[in-house]
Amino acid sequence: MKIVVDRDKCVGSGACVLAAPRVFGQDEDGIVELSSAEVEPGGEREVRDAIDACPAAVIEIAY
Amino acid sequence: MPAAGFHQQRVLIVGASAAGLAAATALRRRGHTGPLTILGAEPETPYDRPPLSKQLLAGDWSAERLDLLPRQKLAELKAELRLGTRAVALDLSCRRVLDGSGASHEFDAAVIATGVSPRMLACARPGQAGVYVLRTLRDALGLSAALTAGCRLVVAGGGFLGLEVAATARSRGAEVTVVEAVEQPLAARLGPTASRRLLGLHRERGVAVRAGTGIAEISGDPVRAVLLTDGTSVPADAVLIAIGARPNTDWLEGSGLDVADGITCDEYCRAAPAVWAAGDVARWFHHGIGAHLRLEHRTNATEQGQAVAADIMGEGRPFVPVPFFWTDHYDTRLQVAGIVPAGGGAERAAPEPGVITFHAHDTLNGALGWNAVRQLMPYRQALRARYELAAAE
Repeated sequence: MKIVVDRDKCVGSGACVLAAPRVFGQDEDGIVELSSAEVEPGGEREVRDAIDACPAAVIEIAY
Repeated sequence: MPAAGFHQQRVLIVGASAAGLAAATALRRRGHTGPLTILGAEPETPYDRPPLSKQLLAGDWSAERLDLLPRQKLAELKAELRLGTRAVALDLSCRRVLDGSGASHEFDAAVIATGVSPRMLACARPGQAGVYVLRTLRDALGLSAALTAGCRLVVAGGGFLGLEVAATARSRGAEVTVVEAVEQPLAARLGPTASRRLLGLHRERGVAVRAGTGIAEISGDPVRAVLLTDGTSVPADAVLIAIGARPNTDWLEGSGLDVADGITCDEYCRAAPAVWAAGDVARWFHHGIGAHLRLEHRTNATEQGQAVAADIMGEGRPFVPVPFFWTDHYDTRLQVAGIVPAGGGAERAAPEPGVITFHAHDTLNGALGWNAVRQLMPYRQALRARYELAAAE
């Protein structure tokens, strides 16, 4: 499972960092950064929570 | 109700904006396969509102970019999306909602997410040319067309919306005056230090801030000037009224729901048997904070819509989010997590630059970041941990 984010559409709410702090981070402007594009086993639930929590719907899973 | 029943029940969502669509999306993700109807009062495909006062008004984004869901995902919801359809009555005993066309929508579960509408100034005449509010895409496009370079804009109300528009209008070359009835607008929301600094920022950028005076009259049709209660007059080509919003609950009067200030709900966001509320219109009991809250925050719309969907599917938990919002002015982004006590309470400068924390009896109640997005995150995490602990007790 691989994560893709659309940084251009990110609004910097930080919701993903709250949901999955091991996977998502933010730059100085709050725009999403991926700490890791690959999801570790057992981390899928957190990532799905982050996808749901994102108000701009910029996170997707690519298989 | 057997577990299978949750998946097949008829769900009606009243409101096709952020909270309503979040509920719909989360229902389907949790395996709801039954009929799903969404009523939206506005004719447009569901869109996101925060950019209306910022990127859209600035002319940086087109309206298409505001779609809440890509068209394909909207279709994948397999929901009956009725746009341009306003709910006019709720019948709790028969579990149905009537819309403006006279159609009846029966439900096993209803989510009310009808949002809020701008308050109007008593002295503004309906239809007065050059007088605007800003809530919908149409509102924003109308105001945007008026904001030509050199346009004299008067903003009534120095809240977040009014000041965001002031910033955007300055960037488009308008002359901007903000008129605000109280001396320190936003002190109750940002604390004394940040609210003072924000007003200072606007003044530096050339906005005339007239705090501590009201508006007596908006003269001309089309508008020519705004007369203030201190006796002075400000020439105006356009006036934006941004003095807050009221919950869209008029259609629920007499339904039996408590709609004194939004729809009163319990900690699961339940307003009555088979009826939930989400988003700006919902006032629910936050178990972690120990009080009823009604939040007009974009992030809350998503989170509350999702929480309601979980509860409809029989998987609900008390809804205890960290209240969170951000507001953008020029190149400054303010974020607030948690609760700022009335009057600002005891505020402290945090060790991290740009962070202010708010306390009551030495307990962290809230935190504010001034261009300090990453620095605020540990405080959001700390508040979340505390609320969830309190809710579990």
